[in-house]
Amino acid sequence: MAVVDLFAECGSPLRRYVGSFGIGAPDSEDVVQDVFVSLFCHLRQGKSQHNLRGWLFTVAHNLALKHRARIARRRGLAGAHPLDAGEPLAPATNPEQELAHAQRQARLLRVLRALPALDRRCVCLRAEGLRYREIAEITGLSLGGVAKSLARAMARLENADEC
Amino acid sequence: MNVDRAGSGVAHLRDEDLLRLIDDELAGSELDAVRDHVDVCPDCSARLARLQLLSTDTSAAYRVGARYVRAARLGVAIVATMVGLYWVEAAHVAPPTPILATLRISDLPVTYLTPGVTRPVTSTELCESDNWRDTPKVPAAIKHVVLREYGAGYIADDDFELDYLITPELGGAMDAQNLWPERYTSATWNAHVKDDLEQLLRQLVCSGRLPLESAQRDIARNWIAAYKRYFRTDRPGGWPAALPRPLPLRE
Repeated sequence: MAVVDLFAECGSPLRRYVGSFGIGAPDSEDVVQDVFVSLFCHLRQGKSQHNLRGWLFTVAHNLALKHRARIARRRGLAGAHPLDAGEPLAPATNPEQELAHAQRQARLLRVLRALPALDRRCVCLRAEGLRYREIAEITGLSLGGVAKSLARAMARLENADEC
Repeated sequence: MNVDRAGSGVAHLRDEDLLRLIDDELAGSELDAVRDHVDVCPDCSARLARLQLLSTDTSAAYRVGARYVRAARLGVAIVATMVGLYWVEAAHVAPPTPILATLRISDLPVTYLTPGVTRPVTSTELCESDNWRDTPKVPAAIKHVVLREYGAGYIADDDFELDYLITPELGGAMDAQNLWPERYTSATWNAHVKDDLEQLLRQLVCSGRLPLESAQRDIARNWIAAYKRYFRTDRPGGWPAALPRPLPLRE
């Protein structure tokens, strides 16, 4: 797959995923650019082209952690709101539905932010369409660990959803 | 694999096994065993539906992100202020409709799963591009996400196509939030009718009679309503006589 195709496929998901670390939009863009520079070097060195999508998320994960630590050291705070993502076009529903929907989404996001880091990472990577095998590679969990982490996260989300 | 849920004395599937079923992470005898159990166990079937709904909504909330939620809340607050509903609180709002009941392959996408996403491109760039008819193939990973979120994982590929809400020819992005499974067999408002709308909107944009952003917004909000408005008809069919019909978008 050409790098340009990978960028078209993975650019937005990577920006979202990096943003979920609490890194603001301009910095997320920088991190994603660094990810693709790393990909360029990786390919130029003739290294494996197996599962490049998973490879990109692994590099993004590591660079995002480094970036967040650097920002936190520099500013003494975590940066932007975690899980800050791009703005899609607004849904065309009536205000009451929109209110109920927005409240539920806000509730789920609050719980998602409050999850233990590893569980949150698993939920975010799953939402980006990564398979459990890929999530396991990125997070260092076993396959069973990924399934358990997701089930644990869903249980917490469910509890909050029912409140 | 089994667990005694709520101390009922009956063995049921664990949540992690149900999630693996939803996520297409089971295979072979394990998959058969889980499916067989779900088929005969109303509790596990209901639990599967609940987890499907929750995981789909969580993924959507993650992707839409905090900024949209804040914007929506601000918009709602403004509306509430305008009509004097300062007291609107969660307790006064009807509970959310169970989304699973509405998850289906339809003529229109589910708005919160497929709000439409654009890529940064100008109308000039779009209209000057030579390869605008080459609709890119949707990668398997994105297809997997869309079908999972629509609960369409078990539906045969022959029954639907994964269609762009905002077509790439109008600046639509290759993104799970811009794709939905659309029926081939829909009698009236099907993919071919939408193709006509896409061609007309592109003509209007490229001839400078319609801003690109308007075309993107209208097709994203409700493409059937947009068709009726731009073709000035309540039924599909009939290209405006005043406009030259372009070559088909899809070969």
